[in-house]
Amino acid sequence: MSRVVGAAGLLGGAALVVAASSRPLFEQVRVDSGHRTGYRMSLWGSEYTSPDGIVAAGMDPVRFGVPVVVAAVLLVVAAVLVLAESRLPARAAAAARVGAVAAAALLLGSVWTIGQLVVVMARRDDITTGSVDSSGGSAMWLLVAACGAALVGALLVQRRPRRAVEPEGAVVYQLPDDTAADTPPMGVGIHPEVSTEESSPT
Amino acid sequence: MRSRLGLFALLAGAVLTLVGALLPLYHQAYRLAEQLEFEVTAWNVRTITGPQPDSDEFRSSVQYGIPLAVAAGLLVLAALFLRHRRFGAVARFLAAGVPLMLVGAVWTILQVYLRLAQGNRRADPITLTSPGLGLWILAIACVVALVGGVLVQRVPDQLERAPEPEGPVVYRLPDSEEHEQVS
Repeated sequence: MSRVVGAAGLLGGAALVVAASSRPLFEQVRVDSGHRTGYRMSLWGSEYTSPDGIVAAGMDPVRFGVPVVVAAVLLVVAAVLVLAESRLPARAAAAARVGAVAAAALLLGSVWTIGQLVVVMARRDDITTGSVDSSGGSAMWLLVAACGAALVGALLVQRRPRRAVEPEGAVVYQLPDDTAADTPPMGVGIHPEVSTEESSPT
Repeated sequence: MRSRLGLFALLAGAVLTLVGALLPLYHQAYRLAEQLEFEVTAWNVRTITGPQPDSDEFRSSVQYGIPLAVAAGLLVLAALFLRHRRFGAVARFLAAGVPLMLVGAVWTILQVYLRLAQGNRRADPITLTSPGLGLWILAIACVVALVGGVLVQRVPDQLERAPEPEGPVVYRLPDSEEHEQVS
């Protein structure tokens, strides 16, 4: 049950990344002596809005989306493998569970680093004239939610480690079913014709 | 042997991450009227030549070092608790994830570097960006930590099967009077 919920978490994380990829990571609106300019940054590029309302794409944008999208693809692959676990050999199933953790962590590492940048941009208040309104965009929050969903999902698809049960009382090892290993009635192998009654002292 | 090698790789990855974060990630040289060069690490910016700011070394605006330091700390935790009876599984979970978290952080820094280096290709670039030693060391840290994370994972065969008893099997009979020797 927790495996299915976990796989849904992994898929949900990937879906949130897709939703975030077309939204702004960071937005800034600056009003200076009646002129309104805007700056938007997304996972794939940035754009400026001039006072005339003309939108121009920024030069050489940072493609933050690359590691994030790779992580989302890995999340989907891991979720599919975890769901098909029963049809996979034990090794592949274990690898899929480890892969789910790896994909969620890749997302976390890249989103956190992008977050470090967005935090600084949103805090920047070195512009002295006019009013500046800068804020983290909706994509940033979606990415944080995606990390949460993916990490919880990765945790849920893990198997609880089997703890060795401490033996109580007598330790009995069961030998493989092999009649040759059974102790004969007399303790030593005696031909069946020699009856037990004759040889046993009463 | 396998898991011990993995443990050392995790620790080495953590050390390399911390060292890489302290070394310059990239250099930037501005070709203005006066020469100005910057060295950017994950924590601060250092000017090499040109007009001196308030201090020679000042805090970088973007603290890439924070996720890197957290990843290094978690790698050490994973290595420490790997042999722990109770938290061994948690340590293996961390060992599977944290190296990839490191990869995510370094990859994002690399994307920033690639954007800056794009300017080099222009006909007359004002800014020349070149990779620093820190970026290479962080890349090596990623590989080392990844190898460690893979080595400490358990193969399912080891996990599922109970160890077979070796040597003679001794049956212990329940302590009852019937079996006491008659002297």
